[in-house]
Amino acid sequence: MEHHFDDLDQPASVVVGAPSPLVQEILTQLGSRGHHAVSIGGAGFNLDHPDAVEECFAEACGDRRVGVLVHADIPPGAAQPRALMDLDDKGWDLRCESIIRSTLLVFQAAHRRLAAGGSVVLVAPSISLGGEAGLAAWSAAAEAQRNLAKVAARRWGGAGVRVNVVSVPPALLGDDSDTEMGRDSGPTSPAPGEPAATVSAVADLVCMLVGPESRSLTGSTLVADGGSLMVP
Amino acid sequence: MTAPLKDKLLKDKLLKDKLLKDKLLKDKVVLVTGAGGGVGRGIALACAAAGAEVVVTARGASGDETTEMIRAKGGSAHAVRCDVTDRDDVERSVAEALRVYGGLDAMVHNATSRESSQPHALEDASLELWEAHASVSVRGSFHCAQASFGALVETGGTLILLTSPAGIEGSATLPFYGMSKAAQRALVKSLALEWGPSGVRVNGLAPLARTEALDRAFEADETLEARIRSLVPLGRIGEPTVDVGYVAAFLVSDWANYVSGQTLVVSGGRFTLL
Repeated sequence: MEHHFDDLDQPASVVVGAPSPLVQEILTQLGSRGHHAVSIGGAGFNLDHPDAVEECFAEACGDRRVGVLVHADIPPGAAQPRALMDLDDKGWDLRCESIIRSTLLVFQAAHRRLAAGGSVVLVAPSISLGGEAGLAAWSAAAEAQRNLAKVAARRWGGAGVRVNVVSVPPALLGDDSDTEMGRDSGPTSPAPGEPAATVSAVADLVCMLVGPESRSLTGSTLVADGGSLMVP
Repeated sequence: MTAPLKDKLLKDKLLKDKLLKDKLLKDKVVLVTGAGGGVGRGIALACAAAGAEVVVTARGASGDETTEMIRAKGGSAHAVRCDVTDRDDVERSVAEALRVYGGLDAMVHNATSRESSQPHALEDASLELWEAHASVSVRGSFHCAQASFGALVETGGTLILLTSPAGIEGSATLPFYGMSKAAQRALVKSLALEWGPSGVRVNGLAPLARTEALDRAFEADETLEARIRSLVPLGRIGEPTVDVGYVAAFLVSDWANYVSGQTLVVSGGRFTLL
């Protein structure tokens, strides 16, 4: 899906994730700021095998380098709360290990195309920071993702590539099947009167992070939840 | 032996005498995975010294050696072969703890992949290598948690996952190790919240410790030990039993009854950012 056309020398800004409201808003905002924004993800996309991920990037980017990678993907149903004792091996893999594998493959595929001075933003659920009952498997995946982003920031900084994390309330990442969580409530929602975390606000932050005004930021985690969670 | 280490070992003797005298872990049953060497063996020895009955699990025969070491010092231990990547193995180990000792107070998941100390590059490391890490540390934690929960509820027990500072700050040279340890750290937090109402505590332990693998690395690089020691404010690398094992014993003990959801970093001051 292409959201903005520009000259062929312009690097692509790749947004990885199912077409959730958040992903759509990030694509829209990147496009409106002059990025050549393309998306990877959704039904029919297989991000669990190196060759498949490579094909996704080739199809989305063609011969373009990648200037921006935004990863905001979770498998359908992964955000549905489930006690750890109620998970079977398949459920564990869906909610935890498959997320880590696909994120790793996306980062590796993107790295092969990343332009000097590029920027990577991982949008991950804030449940990994303080933990969340019923979402243990997903929280484990999210913290592994965040660790991956830190490693990438350390290793790719020499090439001018920055890698940061935006930590958001899990409801912003869940798909439409995650009805138990809701989009306006949940354990990390702010109290009445506090600023809410919205898809628009998070997309703003993502665009800020990939822009020159954030050139000194890398390896950071910004918590975008309206102040519900204040990490030490 | 350096003077600071001599002092430490003297203090350790005093501490061990006190632990033995007080029997901090008297009547506690502790299962330790990967207890055939290194930190796992250190935890098993420390818990036994504090009076616990220890189920020593390891993939191979090295667990028998740890068991003999405990018995030689008058402790109680039972060896079980266990590959934590195999759910049946883990369930059988817990069943052995119940059969031999009648309960389980602590599940300590320490086992790590044999690949854990092999440097690799994030950009081109294979999924097969990730699987080697994940199957032991990440999926192994899942297996240990599910297999032990019922028994831990019965005793008001505790789950302890061995993680690492690399799981907090990331490792440029061991990225998969750090990622798998990070996953365990979040699992600690979430399970502490999920299991707290059942009376089960969940904590993490992130050590910097001298293990057989580290010794081999020192032999391969004569300057490595000095370089690492220079980064540790206390000036030495942790010893698996006296520096790490006793902290694990504390977390198992009733002294830590109100501690849950935490990752204790045991690194001689090397890691202070949390």
